[in-house]
Amino acid sequence: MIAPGTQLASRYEIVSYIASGGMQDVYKANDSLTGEVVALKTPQAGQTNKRFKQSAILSARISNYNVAKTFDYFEEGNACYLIEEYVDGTTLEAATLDVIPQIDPHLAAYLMLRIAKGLAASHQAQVAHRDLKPSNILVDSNFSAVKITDFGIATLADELFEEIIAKNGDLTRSTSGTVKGALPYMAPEMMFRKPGDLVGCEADIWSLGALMFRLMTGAYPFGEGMMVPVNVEKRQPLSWPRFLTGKAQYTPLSNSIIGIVEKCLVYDKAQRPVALDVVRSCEELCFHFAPREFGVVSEVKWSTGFVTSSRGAKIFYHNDSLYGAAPAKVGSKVVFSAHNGTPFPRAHPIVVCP
Amino acid sequence: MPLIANRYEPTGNASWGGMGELNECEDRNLSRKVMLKRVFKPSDLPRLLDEQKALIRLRSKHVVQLLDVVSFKWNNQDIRCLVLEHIQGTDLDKLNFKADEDYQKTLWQIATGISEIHAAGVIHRDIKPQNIRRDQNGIIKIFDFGLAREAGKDDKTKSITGTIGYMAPELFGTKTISFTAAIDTFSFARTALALLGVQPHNEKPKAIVAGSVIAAQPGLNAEVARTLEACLDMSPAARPPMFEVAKLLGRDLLRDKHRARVGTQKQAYELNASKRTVNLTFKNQGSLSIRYDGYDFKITALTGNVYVNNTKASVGMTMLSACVITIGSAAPRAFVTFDISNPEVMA
Ligand SMILES: Nc1ncnc2c1ncn2[C@@H]1O[C@H](COP(=O)(O)OP(=O)(O)OP(=O)(O)O)[C@@H](O)[C@H]1O
Ligand SMILES: Nc1ncnc2c1ncn2[C@@H]1O[C@H](COP(=O)(O)OP(=O)(O)OP(=O)(O)O)[C@@H](O)[C@H]1O
Ligand SMILES: [Mg+2]
Repeated sequence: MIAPGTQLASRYEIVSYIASGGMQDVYKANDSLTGEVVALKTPQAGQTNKRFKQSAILSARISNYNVAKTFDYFEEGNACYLIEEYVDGTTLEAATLDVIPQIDPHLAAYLMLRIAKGLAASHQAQVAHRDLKPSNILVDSNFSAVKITDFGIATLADELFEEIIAKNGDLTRSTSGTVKGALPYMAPEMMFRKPGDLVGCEADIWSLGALMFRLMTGAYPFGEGMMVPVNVEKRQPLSWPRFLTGKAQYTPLSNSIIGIVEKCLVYDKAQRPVALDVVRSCEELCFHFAPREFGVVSEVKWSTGFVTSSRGAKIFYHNDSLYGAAPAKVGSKVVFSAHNGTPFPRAHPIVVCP
Repeated sequence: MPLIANRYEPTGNASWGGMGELNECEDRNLSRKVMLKRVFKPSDLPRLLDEQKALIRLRSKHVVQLLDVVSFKWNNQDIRCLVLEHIQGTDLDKLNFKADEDYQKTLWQIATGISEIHAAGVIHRDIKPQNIRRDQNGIIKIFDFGLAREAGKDDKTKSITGTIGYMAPELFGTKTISFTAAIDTFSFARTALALLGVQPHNEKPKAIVAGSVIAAQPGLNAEVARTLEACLDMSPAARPPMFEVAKLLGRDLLRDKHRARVGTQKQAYELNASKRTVNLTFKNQGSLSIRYDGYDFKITALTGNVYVNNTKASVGMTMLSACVITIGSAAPRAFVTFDISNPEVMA
């Protein structure tokens, strides 16, 4: 633990500890040159500095609004540090999966477009992420910032992966926590790779498809744990829940997104779209993005109802706007976007939370 | 030469400006090129500090990024350098443009950059093609903030500073002059014309005749031409704010690129540049027509009782995304959903 107040490189002052991932510790720091708040990352004991530096070099090549920018890298004492754009918010995992059982297609289209834009820029700079998953995407409280982080972090795992491959033949039989966490989003060419195989940008497209499937359905596209490689290998078709296309208002958009996700999850990497294709497809989608709010259903009628928003406002909804697997009951927690309407603002889309 | 600040290694490439030099270096920490900018004369040090101050306030995709500031001794001299991101690319004065979409995208990016500079409370004061670069990915970057000032704070000048030809008329004079962000607006439009080969005269600018830009540049989009003329107004207060300029240019770049999906219980229609109009009728309850004019989807005709999000619709109304149209005031009524796509200008 680095104590708050510690100065590093005569420039960065630790403000507070944020969290630790599988491989690094993350702190909030103040850049005394610019006065800006930044994220400071340092590898955990046991990680090699050489690989950490390599990942910093890779991520510093990318400059895009949807990628958390790498500002600086330095070594001091025996440790090394990476300075990254600070995102005031949380991970996409925490902002969606932890609180919303499945996101509506409008939010899905919006997120997919942003993530694909970040990927397109990094792939243009010839940098593949190789560990794209909801916990490596940072969002602010109303999703206006969507930023991929930990580009090149996968190089840190390379050593571990190589060891596992040398021992087990490939990654699929590993009991390592890091591998298990990554498997549900991992492309087949990564999971079944042999020593020396290079894994490229196509793997990120697979992961994008897998993470979209997960956010939209709440389920993993190929299951969890040891079932993932089995299901991927037998090219098990995706099973999309009925609710995605159960409401006329959402059916066309859902179908379009399903089409894009299925193309991303094609086994043969050469057949997948490139990131720029995904960007273009997402730009064709007719969707609306507005911030999401939480609330509680206060009244349910035949085909309509009312919600009390967390800010205390009375909001109208129509059943046609209700999306997802769960029905609305009085007292249900909901997440929605509010639109102008008379006499009450109108919720659309509206999704019931667990 | 040893490493500067233990990480920057000069490559030997340098460019010279009016006041100092930029030395290309390899940053050993991140294996990338950076530019170290310094001034020659100690009396010009305030300019370097002004530049540092301005760049610290700015975080824009279209502004060169300040990475570090280093001080060191070299040949017994105290040297101070700004460490800037290295922009691989070409200064705009070395590029040829014609009045096409690429040109308009370039102007949109410059305008977006300047509007972000203004939003941060900074006035650049030296906008010209030589201080703007297009990088390898086609992204426009504005640099050289050596004359930059904080708006509303140190926005007075006694001497004539800037580059004649790009300088706004209010900057010419002998008294102390206060200026506003509108001086950059003027320089922006002058830059826009210079990119088309219309080089500025080396003198105080004169008023232009309305319509002369479009007359001289028939290839130019009329909306863009009008905007540029407004930016060249002799009166600073009459020039549009740069965020308006950026918005206008961006709006035009997205003309005809939107799609809308109109969904009834029975059928889904799509509106776009090749199918601009849809007519919706429900029993004898009412009807409406919606037309795409290249920018917006508007109601062009209407009979009976039609509501948009429960508000009575009227002819001329612009449709917003994610709304519900209701035809009829009592059952049986028709509900129609309306969603619009979100194209973005791709630089
Ligand atoms: N740039 C940043 N700004 C703000 N918070 C950040 C930033 N980067 C990371 N964090 C926070 O730090 C936490 C840990 O990040 P890290 O990426 O190391 O771990 P992880 O993604 O949870 O795990 P893994 O090691 O499997 O990738 C994140 O969950 C996030 O909340
Ligand atoms: N970040 C950068 N990356 C690459 N080249 C740069 C960068 N900044 C400046 N240059 C190049 O160096 C030249 C001089 O830079 P700059 O305009 O900042 O210097 P200056 O001394 O203020 O010049 P002047 O006073 O003549 O305007 C530019 O025209 C440009 O070609
Ligand atoms: Mg991570």
